[in-house]
Amino acid sequence: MALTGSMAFLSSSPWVRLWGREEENRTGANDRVRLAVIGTGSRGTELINNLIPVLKDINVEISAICDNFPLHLNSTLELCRKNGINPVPYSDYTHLLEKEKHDGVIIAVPLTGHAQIAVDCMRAGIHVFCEKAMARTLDDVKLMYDTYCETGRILQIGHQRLFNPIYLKGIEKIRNGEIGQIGQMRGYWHRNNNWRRPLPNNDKGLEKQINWRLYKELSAGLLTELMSHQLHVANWALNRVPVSVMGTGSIVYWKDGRTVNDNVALIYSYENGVKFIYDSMISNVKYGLEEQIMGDKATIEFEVNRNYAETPPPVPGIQHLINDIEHDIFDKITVAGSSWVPELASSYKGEPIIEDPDFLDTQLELEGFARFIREGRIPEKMVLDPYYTSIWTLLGERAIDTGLQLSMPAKYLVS
Amino acid sequence: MKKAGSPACKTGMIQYRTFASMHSVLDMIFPGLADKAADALFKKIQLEAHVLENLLSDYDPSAETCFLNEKAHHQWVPVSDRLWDILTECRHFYSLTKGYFDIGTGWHKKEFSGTTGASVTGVRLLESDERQRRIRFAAPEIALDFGAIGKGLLLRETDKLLTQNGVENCFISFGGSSILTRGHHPHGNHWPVAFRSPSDMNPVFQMNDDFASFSQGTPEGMNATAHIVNPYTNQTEGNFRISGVMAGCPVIAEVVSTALILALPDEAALLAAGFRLKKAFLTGRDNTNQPVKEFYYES
Repeated sequence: MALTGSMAFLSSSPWVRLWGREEENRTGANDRVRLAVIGTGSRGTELINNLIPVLKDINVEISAICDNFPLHLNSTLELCRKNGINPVPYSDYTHLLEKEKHDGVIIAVPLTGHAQIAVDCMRAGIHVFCEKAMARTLDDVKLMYDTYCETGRILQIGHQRLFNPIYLKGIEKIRNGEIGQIGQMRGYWHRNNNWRRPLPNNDKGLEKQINWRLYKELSAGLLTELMSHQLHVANWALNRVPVSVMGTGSIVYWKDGRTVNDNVALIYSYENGVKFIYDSMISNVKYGLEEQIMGDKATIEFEVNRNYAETPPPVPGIQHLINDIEHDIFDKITVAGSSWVPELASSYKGEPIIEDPDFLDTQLELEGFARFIREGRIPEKMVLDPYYTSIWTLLGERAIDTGLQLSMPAKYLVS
Repeated sequence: MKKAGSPACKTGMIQYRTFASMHSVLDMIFPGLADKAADALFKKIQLEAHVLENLLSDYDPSAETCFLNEKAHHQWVPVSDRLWDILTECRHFYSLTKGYFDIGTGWHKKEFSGTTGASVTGVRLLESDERQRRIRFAAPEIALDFGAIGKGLLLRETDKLLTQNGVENCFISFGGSSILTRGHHPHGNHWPVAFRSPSDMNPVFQMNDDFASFSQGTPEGMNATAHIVNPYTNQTEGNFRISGVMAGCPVIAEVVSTALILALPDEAALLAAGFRLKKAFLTGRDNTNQPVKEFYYES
């Protein structure tokens, strides 16, 4: 089967290559994957929008949608119908589980709802794709992982960078030793907005339902919603789990009644001495977001698709001479002048990690979910890494709250 | 273009090393050298570059030159033996180039609010105490700038290291403007080094155990990259002249290529005659965008 676009990207991903065979042309009705989407707020709608263009190609059906907030449910139902999709709407996910059998569910509800819904779905025999972070509490994260082990159902967490070709190629470079020994990793995510969603009809009673990210009982704020992505990248790059975390945080700018910090800084330490130094804030956007993996041979910056060699590659004139010698050619060596561009160390702009960054990683991860459902299994690393990322994200919150340098309690060790 | 079939230089037989130094990049190609030998040589050259930068940098506060620029105004400051020798050599070149090569005009890298007239700067206002090996600047606008000779000094030290390590063939480019060659190209009997010129003059230097230096002025409107100061006007040079010099000494190549950018049209030949050069040329356009009086010399 000739593969194009995102299908080609997916087929080249190591998670799919792991099983050593290409996707067969499964276009029949019996091969169709039936997905239900639980949680149709902004993230759930975005996931559906990513699925709609590829539903036919990947032979997936959105069979049901569910939300306990009627406004979200109705608007998503309308979106589906406009695109020729007729999912059954539910306002209670337990009814969705009782009424019909789905192959998989996509969970995009607020963080505090992840664990119960995911566990119930897996126990009902349904494969689960759940948005990150996994859960609001350490015990709920562990419960999700234990249920995955007990039921044998798929538990995929929404770390879409796992399917991003830039990250996959960058990790390949790291594994191949191209950036040398990693000495330090840095990550940051800066925004300049209040992170609030408007309340329907300005109904103050909906504040915590809509703006759940701002309240500590419902979210760890910047840590679970932003940092977890980047901590996952750091763990993936180093292929290790942290051994300790220390951190600090405060509400510096948005003193509007929220209870989560708008400014955090943490240091994760690994057994080999490497540190992941992280900060996040939402009152300045100059530096945006990045994950920097610094080796003794090169630095990778994933978000901007760059690889910066510590020793810059030869300038064009030198490269030309090397090529000539290698190909037994004796030709003049043109130096200086307009054809010669000396690369000053300070102005070295690095090289792209991949040449054609034209893809949607969220779409790729959802295609991956359908693929895993057909296989009936998911690579263990795709569950373990998100598990430890969620555990260490919440330990980061605890470190900030206590002012202590923390290690992981033994009861959360699963491998 | 010639093509030869030497199997000695297939892929993997060329050692390429590079590092950043003196706000530029040193690229080195060693055909036929073993990997470990190239590594060892690379480290020695890198160390020498580090030593020279610590001596000559006018940006690094820990460098001796930077310290002198900060402290030597109207007070005597002792100078290390090595920098003293370089200063002495630079003064000699100042004389030989009729003042066009002047390491005392580093003012353009500093922020002076006062005058920068030619009368108050330049190496001629550098006072020396020969007996105690110390200097002082007779005017506040003086600042030492070894940018026009630093690459040549490093290539001279590099050449010594190549000899000590028995390197027979190599091509070294320092920012594309300062070239050191040894022996010959793997597929020819020399290294054919050309300079991309906007004029019809496109000389190719056939280099063996040689050095070449190429300089060019900075046209008006590109002041951000201006780097050559005319000691007679005390302004960064606004022409688009291009000069090239091939010589048996990298320092002389650097000095003469810089002086040719600044010299009056009729002075080029006389200036070149004062040094032992193998080849030299001057081309490009002058300050009024007219073609410069071209000059070509071959010994």
